[in-house]
Amino acid sequence: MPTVLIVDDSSTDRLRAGGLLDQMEDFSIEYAVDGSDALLKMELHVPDMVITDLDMPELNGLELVAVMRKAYPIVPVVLMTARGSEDIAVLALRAGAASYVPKRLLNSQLADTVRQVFQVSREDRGRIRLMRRMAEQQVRFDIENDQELIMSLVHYLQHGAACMGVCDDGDRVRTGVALQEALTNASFHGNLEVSSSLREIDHRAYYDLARERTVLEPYSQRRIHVSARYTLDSAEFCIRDEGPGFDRSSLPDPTDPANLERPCGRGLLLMQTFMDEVKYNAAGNEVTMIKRRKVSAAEHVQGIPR
Amino acid sequence: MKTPRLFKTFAVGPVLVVELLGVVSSLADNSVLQELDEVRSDLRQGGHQGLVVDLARAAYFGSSLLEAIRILWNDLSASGGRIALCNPSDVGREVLQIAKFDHVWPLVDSRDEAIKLVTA
Repeated sequence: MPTVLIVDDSSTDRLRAGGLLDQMEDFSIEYAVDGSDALLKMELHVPDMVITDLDMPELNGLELVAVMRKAYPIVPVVLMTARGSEDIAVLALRAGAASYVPKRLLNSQLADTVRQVFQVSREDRGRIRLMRRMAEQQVRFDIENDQELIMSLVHYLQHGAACMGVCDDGDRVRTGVALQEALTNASFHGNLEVSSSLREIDHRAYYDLARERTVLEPYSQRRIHVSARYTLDSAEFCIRDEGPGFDRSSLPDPTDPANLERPCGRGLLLMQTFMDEVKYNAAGNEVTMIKRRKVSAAEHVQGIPR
Repeated sequence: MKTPRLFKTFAVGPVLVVELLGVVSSLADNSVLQELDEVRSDLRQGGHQGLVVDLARAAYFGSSLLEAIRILWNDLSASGGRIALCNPSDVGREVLQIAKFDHVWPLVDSRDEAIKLVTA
């Protein structure tokens, strides 16, 4: 039987919402008087859905959504909004709340909203459970020197790493930054052969030259070849361009204070820092970056495989 | 003037505040370069003594945004102005620290604090 936790400091509203759910389906209803009380109750039993008021004295609805996003990411939260709390409701939705119902429309809308959110949540949960059981996935792309494609590819690849459980939210973003830098290097410095030294003199000339070369042979014919291999323990990305390659040792150290004003080498530095392993082929036109899954302290202690 | 897509600017006294409106993943797009040029022009023409870059809405960024800020910093330094950054995300703060820009660009948690810093 699905459990719904209703959180509201007003006992009237709390019981009213509970009464409405009692009528519609076979739910087990639990109650909490504010966000802190809700978190205490969730430590004992994780509900299938939380319905919460926004304006509460101890840990309000917005703060509760933020905590739940991290601690219980697959438990959907539905907001009950009063007049005047629309702005906070928007923030809470952005922070990850699944839906909202104005309090004045609880009687007519709560049941439908809860049904819809449960439906979506079941599908999400099923997809997440299925993805967690994928043992390996490989993808390959050959793309032009097109910034829009590069941006979409970065999102796709980092999403893949997150779906396989290799990355948490923070590492997903770090992986995205490293991929963006590697693909930008492959396009600008590799295929289009535009040098950072030009950017030092005139950044606009640098980008203008890159734009000209995207339609000029031989540069325009060159592609970026990207392969990604995801396993339960790591995500490995290989990015190769068709340019002449480069010698990494020729780059100045971007962290040397003397070079802070120069635009070279920062992308490589971010790649090295955000990935667990970065290696290049001898020609310097192919980079392989590996992100490994971190074993959480709980997994380590309990010997949980995943 | 077009509605800004990435860099919204406004003056607070002698300080030009640049509010990032999203993620700057590349400067290759001509419209992004154009917006950057408009910020540079505001900075020059307004005779501002300080620049504050508010990163609150940039969930993450890489070398492209660092380059854009570096260009503004160069312009400002030439006229003796000061720069401060505020409200970075966790990953944004890491990026700045890795590139060692936190040594030269003060990084604070609120816009007011940043404005105070560049006008002190």
